[in-house]
Amino acid sequence: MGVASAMVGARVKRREDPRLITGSASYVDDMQSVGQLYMSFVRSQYAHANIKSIKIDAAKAAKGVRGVFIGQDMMDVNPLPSAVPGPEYRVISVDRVRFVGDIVAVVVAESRGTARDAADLIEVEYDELPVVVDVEQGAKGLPTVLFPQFENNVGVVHDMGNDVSEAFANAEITIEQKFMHQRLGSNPMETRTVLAEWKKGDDMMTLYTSNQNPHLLRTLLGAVMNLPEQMIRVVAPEVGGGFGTKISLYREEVIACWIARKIGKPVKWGETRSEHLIASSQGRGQVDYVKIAATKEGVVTGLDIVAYSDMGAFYTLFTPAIPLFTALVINGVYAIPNCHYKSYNILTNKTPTDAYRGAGRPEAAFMIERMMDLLATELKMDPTEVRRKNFIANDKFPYSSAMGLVYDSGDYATNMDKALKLLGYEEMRKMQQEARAKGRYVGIGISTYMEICGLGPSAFLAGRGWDSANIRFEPTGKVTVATGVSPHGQGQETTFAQIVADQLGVPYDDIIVKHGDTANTPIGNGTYGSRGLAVGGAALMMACETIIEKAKKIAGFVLEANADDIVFEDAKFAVKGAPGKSVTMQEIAVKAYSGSDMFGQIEPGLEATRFWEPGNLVFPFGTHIAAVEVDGDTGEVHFLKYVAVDDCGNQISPLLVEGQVHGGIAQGIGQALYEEIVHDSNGQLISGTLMDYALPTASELPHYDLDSTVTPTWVNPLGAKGVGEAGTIGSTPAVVNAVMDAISSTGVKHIDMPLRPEKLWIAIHS
Amino acid sequence: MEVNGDYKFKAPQNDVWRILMDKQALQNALPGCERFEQVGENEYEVTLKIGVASIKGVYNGKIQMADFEEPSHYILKVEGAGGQGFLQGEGIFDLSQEGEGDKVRTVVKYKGSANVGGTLAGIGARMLQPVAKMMAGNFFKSMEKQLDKGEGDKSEAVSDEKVKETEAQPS
Repeated sequence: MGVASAMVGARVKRREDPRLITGSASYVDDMQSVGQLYMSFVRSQYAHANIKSIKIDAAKAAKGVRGVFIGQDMMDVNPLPSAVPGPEYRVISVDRVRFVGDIVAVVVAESRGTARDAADLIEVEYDELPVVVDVEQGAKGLPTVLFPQFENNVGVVHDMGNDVSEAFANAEITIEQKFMHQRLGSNPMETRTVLAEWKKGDDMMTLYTSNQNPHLLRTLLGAVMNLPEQMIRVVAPEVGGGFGTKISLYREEVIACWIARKIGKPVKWGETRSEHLIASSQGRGQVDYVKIAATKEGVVTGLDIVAYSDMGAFYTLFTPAIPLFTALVINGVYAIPNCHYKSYNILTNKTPTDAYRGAGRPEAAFMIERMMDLLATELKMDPTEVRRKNFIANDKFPYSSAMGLVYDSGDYATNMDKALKLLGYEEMRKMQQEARAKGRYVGIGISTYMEICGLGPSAFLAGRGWDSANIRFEPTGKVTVATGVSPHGQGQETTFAQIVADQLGVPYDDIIVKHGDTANTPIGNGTYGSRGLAVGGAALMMACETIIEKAKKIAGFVLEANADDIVFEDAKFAVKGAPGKSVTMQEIAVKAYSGSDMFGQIEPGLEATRFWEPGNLVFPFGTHIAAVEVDGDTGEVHFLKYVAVDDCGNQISPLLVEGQVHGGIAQGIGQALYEEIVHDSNGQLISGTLMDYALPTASELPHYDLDSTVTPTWVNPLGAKGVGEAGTIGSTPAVVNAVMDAISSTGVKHIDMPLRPEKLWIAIHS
Repeated sequence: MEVNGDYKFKAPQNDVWRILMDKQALQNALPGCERFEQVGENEYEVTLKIGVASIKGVYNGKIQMADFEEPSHYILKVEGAGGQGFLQGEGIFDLSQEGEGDKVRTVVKYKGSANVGGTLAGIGARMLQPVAKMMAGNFFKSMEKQLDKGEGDKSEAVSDEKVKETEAQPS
């Protein structure tokens, strides 16, 4: 290893930030293509209806309109793919619409405004059908069935784990609770934006799109459009957040490509915020019935969950797989020998759900962490004590869970203790007693969460769990890194440069990291599931290894020694035992491109592309503690203190780790207290703007006291686990536990999220 | 969504009934009415230009009056659809007279329910109820004005501009 600069582990500011905060980053909507046209969509106003007629003549005749298309026009496009086969999802619905926002027609025109105005001229006549809104009713086929092939709207059933009947039969205590994980809007700062160009002379489709996964999108787009993959280039330039919502191939992307090819003009589309709330996939949406069996001493012996998971009307890429990620981690950090999970995945007349920061794991963490508190209450034990009794012990790793996973590493008690100390747990409990005596509602909530990251072994992901990295030394000795992951806020331009600087002994500022363009990055699988560093970074480590191998050969030539005798230390290559004479990596790079005396023996160039297939998932964990006070007069929740101690293994860039935790907690608090996608009984979205959908802002969020523990993983050469989703997963149960603790004197055991003031006020005053 | 309320006319019940049943008066009282065609007995096709908060749109639809019990009860059904959403509503109107001579008043109680969809629901739901109440108020005010014109000094608009309504909850 060539560690000299010791960039890894340093608190480095993100090199992405200057361009982002000065407005000089280039997003898809900043791109202008000569002669570009604009799309606008006619979307269903009904949650479920047959289309009787569509009148497009007036729109077609409008000035500036270049085309109007409906479903029948695009029957040469294949239905959109999903990880699990599902209902046929056409790019434009034909004959029948199944959610408010379903696409019925598209207008393409010379300006954004013209396209929108013309879309209003299209008259669609509908025959209304009964609407499936409630998942449990839907599971009974009530009031109707969306697709005849899915009996009672049950798409897929996941049934996993082992037999829990004996554990419950012999249980000293059983506790049951129903949990609702409300639907959430994703709301990245940049909504989805698309620009499609068809170069007729080159037979080449270029799609610029705000997406998390350009390489996979390219494969899928080719399959859907019957276009050979080598004729497609997908570019995700600056992407302003994704949170899982931008993993899938979307209808609008395919439609833009289809029209660009049909008309021969570039086509652009940008999603409005209100369009985002009906047209982009949403998160969560599960109803769970949870049961635990335990001894009187508080040892959990069994866990049984029946889930009804809201798929929405169609499957996008991972829709039916999300409950699977819940299933895998239902036992959390606890050694529960008997676990069972059954999810009925229900098709409803709503926008499809898919991954949203945490993707299935927040639901699992929420359930087990809430159940631990309910058990502690039942047994009149401290919630930390119940947890401590059930932690998987340090000597049990690698730990084989009842759900079939092998946990890589963990040290849960040490982590929790650090968080308790950071909070000042004992003092806070004392303060709580004093406050309660005065009639105040103060609560402390703990969550000792875990999650699975570094998605993942390819067996989990239809063969595409690996990733790639390319390192290219330029003839001047500078370095261009190209990665197969596709950061959109994670900061890999910084962290990957830190890694390469240390590994290859090259100055940090001489390294640039490229991503997001299928034309100049090795094929990879994008950024989601906290995989950027744990998988993409591991591939980068492999590429470094290959570069060093080649560099040693060149060093051997320069130093007139055998390559096997060359050692790479302190950023210098030298002959073993003769450190006096040495050559740097950058000198070697110059030689690699200009050493005409060498090329007879050693191939020119210094470049490596490597792929990495993770052998296992990685298992970050942590402890989040919220101390809150509920205002008895208004029901509002105020934070007194928020502490998080996360363990994501080795940290490449501690400052970026903190940034990820900050953002994650914000979103987790959003779910706990504010955010909710609301449909009425007709399936109409009635939280369709950010005036109605309560997205927390800085004024709603507390200061975070952060710390960490470091338990490296053996799964990848970095020992890093991933932290992108941790904050979201750890925070929600901590906050809800704290609020329920605060109002425990009311006798109310559980209130469904979001814990809005009126719900808490009612609990306190009734 | 439900909107309930009442409106007090300074006129005898028979006069109020007559103006409410008058086709021309109805056309004049409808908000943003751009087209009004009779297509059947007590059935009209209309085009209304209505804005709810920022959602301004043109709605084509039908108005139907039914269930007449002269001079005290009828139902008005409205349905309309446009680029920004759709609306289906029904209003039940009950008239009763109180007072005598100069103090004669006619109270029209209305009970309305509506379903809305599309952008109108997604973006406008929060605004719909107050807007619906305002529209109902304007409707009656317009009717009363027309009654004044037609009937001269026989009646006079209630000076209190406020439209009295009972509390209503979003459906």
